Amino acid sequence: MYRGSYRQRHADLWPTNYKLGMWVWLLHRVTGVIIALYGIAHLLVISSSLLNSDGDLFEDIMKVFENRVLLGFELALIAVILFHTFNGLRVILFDLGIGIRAQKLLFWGLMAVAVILFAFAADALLPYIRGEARL
Amino acid sequence: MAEPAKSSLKVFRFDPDRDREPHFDTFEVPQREGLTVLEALFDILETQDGSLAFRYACRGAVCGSCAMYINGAYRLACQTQVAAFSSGELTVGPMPHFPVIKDLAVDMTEFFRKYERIMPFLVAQSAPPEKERVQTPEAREAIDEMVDCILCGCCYSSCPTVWTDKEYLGPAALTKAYRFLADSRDEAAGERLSIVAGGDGIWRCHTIFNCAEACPKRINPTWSIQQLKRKSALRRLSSWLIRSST
Ligand code: SF4
Ligand code: SF4
Ligand code: FES
Repeated sequence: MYRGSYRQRHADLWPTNYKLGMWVWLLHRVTGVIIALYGIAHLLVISSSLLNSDGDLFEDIMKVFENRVLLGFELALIAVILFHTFNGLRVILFDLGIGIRAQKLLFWGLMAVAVILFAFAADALLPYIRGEARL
Repeated sequence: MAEPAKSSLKVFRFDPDRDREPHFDTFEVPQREGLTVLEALFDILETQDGSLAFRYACRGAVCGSCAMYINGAYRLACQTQVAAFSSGELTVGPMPHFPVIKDLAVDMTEFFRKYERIMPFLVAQSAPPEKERVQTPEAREAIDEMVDCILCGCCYSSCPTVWTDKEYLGPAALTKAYRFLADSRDEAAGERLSIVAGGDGIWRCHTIFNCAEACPKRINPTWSIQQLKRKSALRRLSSWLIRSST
């Protein structure tokens, strides 16, 4: 008698077998978590301004963020947010019944817009990251 | 005469009565023009290993029995030619997210239990007409794509929501639900929407499109699911409006 509950699950979990939609879905989860964590950290940092009334502590914390490595992270954060925003639009369009049969085209189209916006952000931030300009 | 070229098939083997773990056996099969993966499996069965288990019926991509995972993609064995892989090397496994009965044959009980849940038949409430319930060619065209579904299970096995939610109806059943809902002769729209809009229905679909990529009949289940979402949302909205205006 068959007792088979064996499933060959891993076969299509191997990343080289993923199609575009699967990658995008996974990236959407990952960027979502990053943005949520950033949001929490951001609120904590900003609320530090309430800790002492003359605001010195807050100013000191803000100084830390002029660090070039942290500015680099900020640029990466912009990329994460742009991806999540524009793919989020794609998902909303699907829920409105738009673009389902052109999901890949829609993805690349929206990403093209995201890349252009990212270029502006990089253009503005890179001098500070390279240390050529100072805040 | 020269020996015909051979293709090598790495075939998933699992016999629950004997094996604790599955393994792969490699078979050499003589290549010939038009040879399908299903025919190659027959060749193995007849000339090399009579214990190989796999499912098939129509051999022409209409019964949905021979769905397998071949070289990293969901395919029908009868529709896939060995020559499509220029390396001459094939890896043939069962659909990954079904329990294996033996070798390439999987247990589709859950798949068909969910299919039954969506009432896969026409429901008419009105009295039968004298002759037949007429459907215009245009009305039929609207459901052509969904009618084509052969219930092979490729989309179901490929769906991440199916992997994580045991009761999720899945892309095939939902596609069929839309097929009947959108049928001009059907008269059970309300009931159908209640079934698919439940906790294990359309709202669990995350529009990942694995199903559309997997379907060997080029059906796009995501499209049908999104139509169901829209209809279901509109129904909720209108019943709210009616309630709040009275
Ligand atoms: S689009 Fe929906 S039904 Fe299709 S694989 Fe993704 S979650 Fe599953
Ligand atoms: S929609 Fe396509 S993949 Fe899914 S069961 Fe039907 S034919 Fe198979
Ligand atoms: S044998 Fe019927 S679909 Fe392949």
